[in-house]
Amino acid sequence: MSDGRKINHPDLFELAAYAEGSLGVELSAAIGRHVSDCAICQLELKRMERFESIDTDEELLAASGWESAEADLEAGYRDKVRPVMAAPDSVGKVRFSWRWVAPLAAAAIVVAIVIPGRFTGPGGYSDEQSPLRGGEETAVFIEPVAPLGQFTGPPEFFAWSASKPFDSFSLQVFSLKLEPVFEQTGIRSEKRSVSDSLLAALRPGQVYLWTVTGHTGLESEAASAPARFEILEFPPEK
Amino acid sequence: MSRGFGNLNDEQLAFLIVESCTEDACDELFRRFRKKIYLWCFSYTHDRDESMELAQEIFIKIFANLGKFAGRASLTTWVYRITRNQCLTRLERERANWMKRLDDMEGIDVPDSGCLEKLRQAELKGSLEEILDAAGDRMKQEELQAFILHYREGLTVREITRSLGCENLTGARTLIQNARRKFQRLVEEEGYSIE
Repeated sequence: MSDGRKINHPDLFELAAYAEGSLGVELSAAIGRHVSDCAICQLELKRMERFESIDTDEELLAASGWESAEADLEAGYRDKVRPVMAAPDSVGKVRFSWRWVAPLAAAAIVVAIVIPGRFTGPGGYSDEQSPLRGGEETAVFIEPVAPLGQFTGPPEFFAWSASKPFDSFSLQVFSLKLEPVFEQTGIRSEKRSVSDSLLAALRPGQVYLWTVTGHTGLESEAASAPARFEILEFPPEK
Repeated sequence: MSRGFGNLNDEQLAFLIVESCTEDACDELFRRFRKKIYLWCFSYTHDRDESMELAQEIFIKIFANLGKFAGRASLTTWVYRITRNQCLTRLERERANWMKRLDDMEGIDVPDSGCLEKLRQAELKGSLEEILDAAGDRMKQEELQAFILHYREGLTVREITRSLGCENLTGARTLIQNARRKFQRLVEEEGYSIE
Protein backbone atom coordinates (compact mmCIF):
# COMPACT_ATOMS: atom_id res chain seq x y z
CA MET A 1 0.00 0.00 0.00
CA SER A 2 1.09 3.55 -0.53
CA ASP A 3 3.01 5.15 2.28
CA GLY A 4 1.19 8.35 1.57
CA ARG A 5 4.25 10.33 0.49
CA LYS A 6 3.50 12.99 -2.05
CA ILE A 7 5.47 13.71 -5.16
CA ASN A 8 5.39 16.80 -7.29
CA HIS A 9 5.15 15.66 -10.86
CA PRO A 10 6.74 18.03 -13.33
CA ASP A 11 4.01 20.12 -14.87
CA LEU A 12 2.94 19.77 -18.46
CA PHE A 13 5.20 22.52 -19.76
CA GLU A 14 8.24 21.17 -17.98
CA LEU A 15 7.49 17.77 -19.46
CA ALA A 16 7.10 19.28 -22.93
CA ALA A 17 10.36 21.19 -22.56
CA TYR A 18 12.02 17.99 -21.35
CA ALA A 19 10.76 16.12 -24.42
CA GLU A 20 11.96 18.93 -26.69
CA GLY A 21 15.37 18.92 -25.01
CA SER A 22 15.15 22.60 -24.18
CA LEU A 23 15.80 22.35 -20.43
CA GLY A 24 19.08 22.87 -18.66
CA VAL A 25 21.22 19.80 -18.02
CA GLU A 26 20.45 19.45 -14.30
CA LEU A 27 16.72 19.99 -14.56
CA SER A 28 16.50 17.70 -17.57
CA ALA A 29 18.35 14.95 -15.70
CA ALA A 30 16.09 15.34 -12.65
CA ILE A 31 12.94 15.15 -14.75
CA GLY A 32 14.39 12.24 -16.72
CA ARG A 33 14.90 10.27 -13.50
CA HIS A 34 11.35 11.00 -12.45
CA VAL A 35 9.83 10.13 -15.83
CA SER A 36 11.62 6.81 -16.07
CA ASP A 37 9.81 5.66 -12.90
CA CYS A 38 6.52 7.48 -13.33
CA ALA A 39 3.82 5.84 -15.43
CA ILE A 40 1.65 8.95 -15.22
CA CYS A 41 4.28 11.26 -16.67
CA GLN A 42 5.18 8.71 -19.34
CA LEU A 43 1.51 8.59 -20.20
CA GLU A 44 1.36 12.35 -20.46
CA LEU A 45 4.28 12.39 -22.87
CA LYS A 46 2.54 9.80 -25.00
CA ARG A 47 -0.66 11.84 -24.96
CA MET A 48 1.21 14.96 -26.07
CA GLU A 49 2.77 12.98 -28.90
CA ARG A 50 -0.68 11.77 -29.81
CA PHE A 51 -1.99 15.34 -29.98
CA GLU A 52 0.90 16.35 -32.20
CA SER A 53 0.16 13.64 -34.72
CA ILE A 54 -3.58 13.10 -34.35
CA ASP A 55 -4.37 15.04 -37.53
CA THR A 56 -2.50 12.47 -39.61
CA ASP A 57 -4.50 9.52 -38.29
CA GLU A 58 -6.34 8.45 -41.44
CA GLU A 59 -8.55 5.99 -39.61
CA LEU A 60 -9.72 8.62 -37.12
CA LEU A 61 -10.17 11.18 -39.88
CA ALA A 62 -12.52 8.81 -41.68
CA ALA A 63 -14.38 7.72 -38.54
CA SER A 64 -14.90 11.31 -37.40
CA GLY A 65 -16.30 12.44 -40.74
CA TRP A 66 -13.69 15.18 -40.94
CA GLU A 67 -14.27 15.80 -44.62
CA SER A 68 -17.80 17.04 -44.02
CA ALA A 69 -17.15 18.33 -40.51
CA GLU A 70 -14.49 20.77 -41.70
CA ALA A 71 -16.96 23.09 -43.40
CA ASP A 72 -19.39 22.94 -40.48
CA LEU A 73 -16.63 23.66 -38.02
CA GLU A 74 -15.62 26.68 -40.08
CA ALA A 75 -19.24 27.90 -40.09
CA GLY A 76 -19.48 27.37 -36.34
CA TYR A 77 -16.31 29.37 -35.83
CA ARG A 78 -17.70 32.18 -37.98
CA ASP A 79 -21.11 32.22 -36.30
CA LYS A 80 -20.28 31.42 -32.69
CA VAL A 81 -16.61 31.96 -31.92
CA ARG A 82 -15.94 35.15 -33.87
CA PRO A 83 -18.84 37.09 -32.29
CA VAL A 84 -17.49 36.24 -28.84
CA MET A 85 -14.04 37.37 -29.89
CA ALA A 86 -15.44 40.59 -31.26
CA ALA A 87 -16.63 41.58 -27.80
CA PRO A 88 -14.43 44.30 -26.29
CA ASP A 89 -11.34 42.92 -24.58
CA SER A 90 -12.35 39.32 -25.23
CA VAL A 91 -9.00 38.20 -26.57
CA GLY A 92 -6.21 37.81 -24.07
CA LYS A 93 -7.95 39.14 -21.00
CA VAL A 94 -4.65 38.98 -19.14
CA ARG A 95 -2.34 41.07 -21.23
CA PHE A 96 1.04 39.69 -22.01
CA SER A 97 3.92 41.64 -20.54
CA TRP A 98 7.56 40.72 -20.91
CA ARG A 99 8.45 43.14 -18.14
CA TRP A 100 7.30 40.72 -15.49
CA VAL A 101 7.39 37.46 -17.38
CA ALA A 102 11.15 37.47 -17.94
CA PRO A 103 12.23 38.02 -14.32
CA LEU A 104 9.64 35.53 -13.11
CA ALA A 105 10.81 32.94 -15.61
CA ALA A 106 14.42 33.43 -14.58
CA ALA A 107 13.47 33.10 -10.92
CA ALA A 108 11.42 29.98 -11.62
CA ILE A 109 14.29 28.31 -13.43
CA VAL A 110 16.74 29.15 -10.63
CA VAL A 111 14.36 27.80 -7.99
CA ALA A 112 13.77 24.60 -9.95
CA ILE A 113 17.48 23.98 -10.31
CA VAL A 114 18.65 24.84 -6.81
CA ILE A 115 15.92 23.02 -4.88
CA PRO A 116 17.26 19.48 -4.79
CA GLY A 117 15.23 16.30 -4.81
CA ARG A 118 12.12 17.86 -6.20
CA PHE A 119 11.51 15.05 -8.65
CA THR A 120 12.84 12.17 -6.61
CA GLY A 121 11.21 9.37 -4.69
CA PRO A 122 7.99 7.51 -5.17
CA GLY A 123 4.78 8.98 -3.94
CA GLY A 124 1.24 10.01 -4.58
CA TYR A 125 -0.57 11.83 -7.23
CA SER A 126 -0.63 15.56 -6.85
CA ASP A 127 -3.52 16.88 -8.88
CA GLU A 128 -2.51 20.52 -8.41
CA GLN A 129 0.70 20.06 -10.31
CA SER A 130 -0.18 16.91 -12.15
CA PRO A 131 0.53 16.80 -15.85
CA LEU A 132 -2.95 15.33 -16.11
CA ARG A 133 -4.26 18.82 -15.52
CA GLY A 134 -1.47 20.93 -16.89
CA GLY A 135 0.52 23.62 -15.12
CA GLU A 136 2.42 26.85 -15.50
CA GLU A 137 5.01 27.56 -18.14
CA THR A 138 8.78 27.48 -17.84
CA ALA A 139 11.76 27.01 -20.17
CA VAL A 140 13.28 28.98 -23.03
CA PHE A 141 12.44 32.52 -24.07
CA ILE A 142 13.76 35.48 -26.06
CA GLU A 143 13.07 39.04 -24.98
CA PRO A 144 13.26 41.99 -27.37
CA VAL A 145 15.45 44.79 -26.00
CA ALA A 146 15.64 47.46 -28.70
CA PRO A 147 14.19 49.22 -30.60
CA LEU A 148 11.01 49.59 -28.54
CA GLY A 149 8.79 52.67 -28.59
CA GLN A 150 8.98 55.82 -30.65
CA PHE A 151 12.03 57.27 -32.38
CA THR A 152 13.05 60.21 -34.42
CA GLY A 153 14.98 58.57 -37.19
CA PRO A 154 15.52 54.93 -37.94
CA PRO A 155 16.99 52.58 -35.32
CA GLU A 156 20.67 51.80 -35.58
CA PHE A 157 20.44 48.21 -34.39
CA PHE A 158 18.15 45.46 -33.12
CA ALA A 159 18.98 43.79 -29.80
CA TRP A 160 17.42 41.02 -27.79
CA SER A 161 18.14 38.84 -24.80
CA ALA A 162 17.86 35.04 -24.86
CA SER A 163 17.52 32.82 -21.82
CA LYS A 164 20.05 30.35 -23.26
CA PRO A 165 22.60 30.23 -26.09
CA PHE A 166 21.30 29.48 -29.58
CA ASP A 167 23.20 28.45 -32.67
CA SER A 168 21.66 31.32 -34.59
CA PHE A 169 18.79 33.78 -34.65
CA SER A 170 16.52 35.05 -37.38
CA LEU A 171 15.04 38.54 -37.35
CA GLN A 172 11.76 39.45 -39.00
CA VAL A 173 10.26 42.91 -39.35
CA PHE A 174 6.62 43.46 -40.31
CA SER A 175 4.37 46.39 -40.98
CA LEU A 176 1.37 46.78 -38.73
CA LYS A 177 -0.65 45.20 -41.52
CA LEU A 178 1.59 42.14 -41.16
CA GLU A 179 3.31 42.67 -44.47
CA PRO A 180 6.88 41.36 -44.27
CA VAL A 181 9.36 44.23 -44.48
CA PHE A 182 12.63 42.50 -43.77
CA GLU A 183 14.00 39.12 -42.81
CA GLN A 184 17.50 37.99 -41.94
CA THR A 185 18.57 34.53 -40.86
CA GLY A 186 21.84 33.12 -39.53
CA ILE A 187 22.51 35.89 -37.00
CA ARG A 188 25.10 34.67 -34.50
CA SER A 189 24.78 37.26 -31.73
CA GLU A 190 22.01 38.98 -29.79
CA LYS A 191 22.47 42.21 -31.69
CA ARG A 192 22.16 43.13 -35.34
CA SER A 193 22.97 46.43 -37.04
CA VAL A 194 20.30 47.80 -39.30
CA SER A 195 21.32 46.97 -42.84
CA ASP A 196 21.07 49.33 -45.78
CA SER A 197 18.29 47.23 -47.31
CA LEU A 198 16.21 47.51 -44.15
CA LEU A 199 17.00 51.17 -43.83
CA ALA A 200 15.69 51.74 -47.32
CA ALA A 201 12.47 49.91 -46.51
CA LEU A 202 11.62 51.89 -43.35
CA ARG A 203 9.30 54.88 -43.64
CA PRO A 204 8.65 57.75 -41.25
CA GLY A 205 5.24 57.82 -39.57
CA GLN A 206 5.01 54.02 -39.66
CA VAL A 207 4.71 51.49 -36.86
CA TYR A 208 6.68 48.26 -37.23
CA LEU A 209 6.60 44.93 -35.44
CA TRP A 210 9.64 42.72 -35.11
CA THR A 211 10.30 39.26 -33.76
CA VAL A 212 13.34 37.12 -33.21
CA THR A 213 13.45 33.34 -33.46
CA GLY A 214 16.20 31.27 -31.86
CA HIS A 215 17.48 28.21 -33.70
CA THR A 216 19.39 25.21 -32.45
CA GLY A 217 20.56 23.07 -35.32
CA LEU A 218 17.76 23.10 -37.86
CA GLU A 219 15.04 23.51 -35.23
CA SER A 220 13.30 26.75 -34.27
CA GLU A 221 13.36 26.51 -30.52
CA ALA A 222 11.88 29.76 -29.24
CA ALA A 223 10.45 32.98 -30.57
CA SER A 224 10.06 36.39 -29.02
CA ALA A 225 6.80 38.20 -28.69
CA PRO A 226 6.40 40.83 -31.41
CA ALA A 227 7.97 44.08 -30.30
CA ARG A 228 6.84 47.41 -31.67
CA PHE A 229 8.64 50.55 -32.72
CA GLU A 230 7.57 53.68 -34.53
CA ILE A 231 9.61 56.10 -36.55
CA LEU A 232 8.08 59.51 -36.00
CA GLU A 233 10.16 61.27 -38.62
CA PHE A 234 13.48 61.05 -40.34
CA PRO A 235 15.97 63.74 -39.32
CA PRO A 236 16.59 66.29 -42.06
CA GLU A 237 19.49 65.44 -44.30
CA LYS A 238 22.53 67.61 -43.78
CA MET B 1 -6.73 35.26 -45.72
CA SER B 2 -3.28 34.44 -44.47
CA ARG B 3 -1.13 37.02 -46.18
CA GLY B 4 2.06 37.45 -44.22
CA PHE B 5 1.31 34.66 -41.72
CA GLY B 6 3.33 32.04 -43.52
CA ASN B 7 6.45 33.64 -42.08
CA LEU B 8 5.15 33.47 -38.53
CA ASN B 9 5.46 30.40 -36.39
CA ASP B 10 2.62 29.50 -34.02
CA GLU B 11 4.09 31.39 -31.09
CA GLN B 12 4.65 34.57 -33.05
CA LEU B 13 1.11 34.35 -34.38
CA ALA B 14 -0.25 34.05 -30.84
CA PHE B 15 1.65 37.10 -29.66
CA LEU B 16 0.51 39.02 -32.68
CA ILE B 17 -3.13 38.26 -31.82
CA VAL B 18 -2.62 39.47 -28.27
CA GLU B 19 -0.82 42.55 -29.56
CA SER B 20 -3.17 43.63 -32.32
CA CYS B 21 -6.04 41.11 -32.41
CA THR B 22 -6.80 41.21 -36.11
CA GLU B 23 -9.54 38.96 -37.43
CA ASP B 24 -7.16 37.53 -40.03
CA ALA B 25 -4.66 36.47 -37.40
CA CYS B 26 -7.39 34.80 -35.31
CA ASP B 27 -8.65 33.00 -38.41
CA GLU B 28 -5.15 31.76 -39.10
CA LEU B 29 -4.78 30.37 -35.59
CA PHE B 30 -8.15 28.65 -35.96
CA ARG B 31 -7.05 27.20 -39.29
CA ARG B 32 -3.83 25.83 -37.84
CA PHE B 33 -5.43 24.01 -34.91
CA ARG B 34 -9.00 23.15 -35.92
CA LYS B 35 -8.22 19.67 -37.20
CA LYS B 36 -6.19 18.58 -34.18
CA ILE B 37 -8.77 19.94 -31.74
CA TYR B 38 -11.76 18.47 -33.52
CA LEU B 39 -10.16 15.04 -33.78
CA TRP B 40 -9.05 15.12 -30.15
CA CYS B 41 -12.62 15.96 -29.13
CA PHE B 42 -13.94 13.18 -31.32
CA SER B 43 -11.61 10.68 -29.67
CA TYR B 44 -13.48 11.45 -26.43
CA THR B 45 -17.02 12.02 -27.62
CA HIS B 46 -17.29 9.67 -30.62
CA ASP B 47 -19.93 12.06 -31.84
CA ARG B 48 -19.54 14.54 -34.69
CA ASP B 49 -21.91 17.25 -33.42
CA GLU B 50 -20.73 17.01 -29.87
CA SER B 51 -17.13 17.27 -31.03
CA MET B 52 -17.99 20.32 -33.08
CA GLU B 53 -19.63 22.04 -30.13
CA LEU B 54 -16.78 21.13 -27.81
CA ALA B 55 -14.21 22.39 -30.31
CA GLN B 56 -15.99 25.74 -30.44
CA GLU B 57 -15.91 25.99 -26.65
CA ILE B 58 -12.21 25.22 -26.75
CA PHE B 59 -11.48 27.92 -29.30
CA ILE B 60 -13.38 30.48 -27.24
CA LYS B 61 -11.30 29.45 -24.25
CA ILE B 62 -8.09 29.66 -26.27
CA PHE B 63 -8.78 33.16 -27.51
CA ALA B 64 -9.97 34.34 -24.11
CA ASN B 65 -6.78 33.10 -22.46
CA LEU B 66 -4.25 33.84 -25.14
CA GLY B 67 -2.90 36.71 -23.08
CA LYS B 68 -1.69 34.15 -20.53
CA PHE B 69 0.46 32.41 -23.11
CA ALA B 70 3.96 33.46 -22.17
CA GLY B 71 5.76 31.73 -25.00
CA ARG B 72 7.99 29.57 -22.87
CA ALA B 73 6.36 26.38 -24.13
CA SER B 74 5.20 25.75 -27.66
CA LEU B 75 1.75 27.00 -28.55
CA THR B 76 0.83 23.42 -29.45
CA THR B 77 1.55 22.32 -25.87
CA TRP B 78 -0.48 25.23 -24.52
CA VAL B 79 -3.40 24.47 -26.85
CA TYR B 80 -3.11 20.81 -25.92
CA ARG B 81 -3.47 21.63 -22.23
CA ILE B 82 -6.65 23.64 -22.81
CA THR B 83 -8.07 21.02 -25.17
CA ARG B 84 -7.32 18.19 -22.80
CA ASN B 85 -8.74 19.95 -19.75
CA GLN B 86 -11.89 21.04 -21.55
CA CYS B 87 -12.51 17.47 -22.72
CA LEU B 88 -12.03 16.15 -19.19
CA THR B 89 -14.32 18.78 -17.75
CA ARG B 90 -16.99 17.90 -20.27
CA LEU B 91 -16.45 14.22 -19.63
CA GLU B 92 -16.91 14.76 -15.92
CA ARG B 93 -20.15 16.64 -16.53
CA GLU B 94 -21.62 14.02 -18.79
CA ARG B 95 -19.79 10.95 -17.64
CA ALA B 96 -22.81 8.64 -17.59
CA ASN B 97 -23.68 9.38 -21.21
CA TRP B 98 -20.16 9.08 -22.43
CA MET B 99 -19.46 5.81 -20.67
CA LYS B 100 -22.67 4.30 -21.93
CA ARG B 101 -21.77 5.30 -25.45
CA LEU B 102 -18.33 3.85 -24.94
CA ASP B 103 -19.75 0.48 -23.97
CA ASP B 104 -22.21 0.48 -26.85
CA MET B 105 -19.63 1.41 -29.40
CA GLU B 106 -16.85 -0.86 -28.32
CA GLY B 107 -18.85 -3.99 -27.72
CA ILE B 108 -15.79 -5.41 -26.03
CA ASP B 109 -15.62 -7.91 -23.28
CA VAL B 110 -14.10 -5.74 -20.59
CA PRO B 111 -16.79 -5.69 -17.94
CA ASP B 112 -16.46 -2.69 -15.74
CA SER B 113 -17.30 -4.46 -12.47
CA GLY B 114 -17.53 -1.18 -10.66
CA CYS B 115 -14.04 0.09 -11.51
CA LEU B 116 -15.38 3.29 -12.94
CA GLU B 117 -17.62 3.97 -9.99
CA LYS B 118 -14.87 3.16 -7.50
CA LEU B 119 -12.48 5.56 -9.18
CA ARG B 120 -15.13 8.22 -9.32
CA GLN B 121 -15.88 7.86 -5.63
CA ALA B 122 -12.19 7.93 -4.84
CA GLU B 123 -11.80 11.11 -6.86
CA LEU B 124 -14.72 12.73 -5.09
CA LYS B 125 -13.24 11.77 -1.74
CA GLY B 126 -9.83 13.07 -2.71
CA SER B 127 -8.18 9.66 -2.38
CA LEU B 128 -7.60 9.05 -6.07
CA GLU B 129 -3.92 9.92 -5.86
CA GLU B 130 -3.40 7.40 -3.09
CA ILE B 131 -5.19 4.68 -5.03
CA LEU B 132 -3.36 5.36 -8.28
CA ASP B 133 -0.11 5.37 -6.39
CA ALA B 134 -0.89 2.02 -4.81
CA ALA B 135 -2.12 0.67 -8.14
CA GLY B 136 1.17 1.74 -9.70
CA ASP B 137 3.00 -0.56 -7.30
CA ARG B 138 1.01 -3.55 -8.52
CA MET B 139 0.43 -2.83 -12.19
CA LYS B 140 2.94 -2.66 -14.96
CA GLN B 141 3.38 0.90 -16.19
CA GLU B 142 1.44 0.32 -19.40
CA GLU B 143 -1.37 -1.39 -17.50
CA LEU B 144 -1.74 1.63 -15.24
CA GLN B 145 -1.68 3.93 -18.26
CA ALA B 146 -4.33 1.92 -20.08
CA PHE B 147 -6.40 1.79 -16.89
CA ILE B 148 -6.31 5.57 -16.45
CA LEU B 149 -7.15 6.22 -20.09
CA HIS B 150 -10.04 3.80 -20.11
CA TYR B 151 -11.63 4.32 -16.72
CA ARG B 152 -10.73 7.88 -15.89
CA GLU B 153 -10.81 9.44 -19.33
CA GLY B 154 -13.34 7.18 -20.98
CA LEU B 155 -11.25 6.44 -24.06
CA THR B 156 -12.00 3.54 -26.31
CA VAL B 157 -9.70 0.57 -26.61
CA ARG B 158 -8.92 1.70 -30.13
CA GLU B 159 -7.82 5.16 -28.97
CA ILE B 160 -5.80 3.65 -26.14
CA THR B 161 -4.11 1.39 -28.64
CA ARG B 162 -3.07 4.43 -30.66
CA SER B 163 -2.03 6.49 -27.66
CA LEU B 164 0.11 3.78 -26.10
CA GLY B 165 1.46 2.57 -29.40
CA CYS B 166 0.24 -1.01 -28.90
CA GLU B 167 0.64 -3.33 -31.86
CA ASN B 168 -3.05 -4.21 -31.99
CA LEU B 169 -6.36 -3.94 -30.15
CA THR B 170 -5.75 -7.18 -28.31
CA GLY B 171 -2.69 -5.67 -26.67
CA ALA B 172 -4.58 -2.71 -25.22
CA ARG B 173 -7.52 -4.90 -24.23
CA THR B 174 -5.23 -7.26 -22.34
CA LEU B 175 -3.65 -4.32 -20.55
CA ILE B 176 -7.05 -3.08 -19.42
CA GLN B 177 -8.21 -6.51 -18.31
CA ASN B 178 -5.05 -7.13 -16.30
CA ALA B 179 -5.25 -3.68 -14.76
CA ARG B 180 -8.90 -4.19 -13.82
CA ARG B 181 -8.14 -7.48 -12.14
CA LYS B 182 -5.26 -5.97 -10.16
CA PHE B 183 -7.29 -2.94 -9.23
CA GLN B 184 -10.10 -5.06 -7.84
CA ARG B 185 -7.64 -7.13 -5.84
CA LEU B 186 -6.07 -3.96 -4.53
CA VAL B 187 -9.39 -2.60 -3.36
CA GLU B 188 -10.25 -5.90 -1.64
CA GLU B 189 -6.90 -6.42 0.04
CA GLU B 190 -6.12 -2.89 1.06
CA GLY B 191 -9.60 -2.26 2.28
CA TYR B 192 -10.09 1.09 0.64
CA SER B 193 -13.38 2.38 1.84
CA ILE B 194 -14.82 3.74 -1.34
CA GLU B 195 -18.34 2.39 -1.35
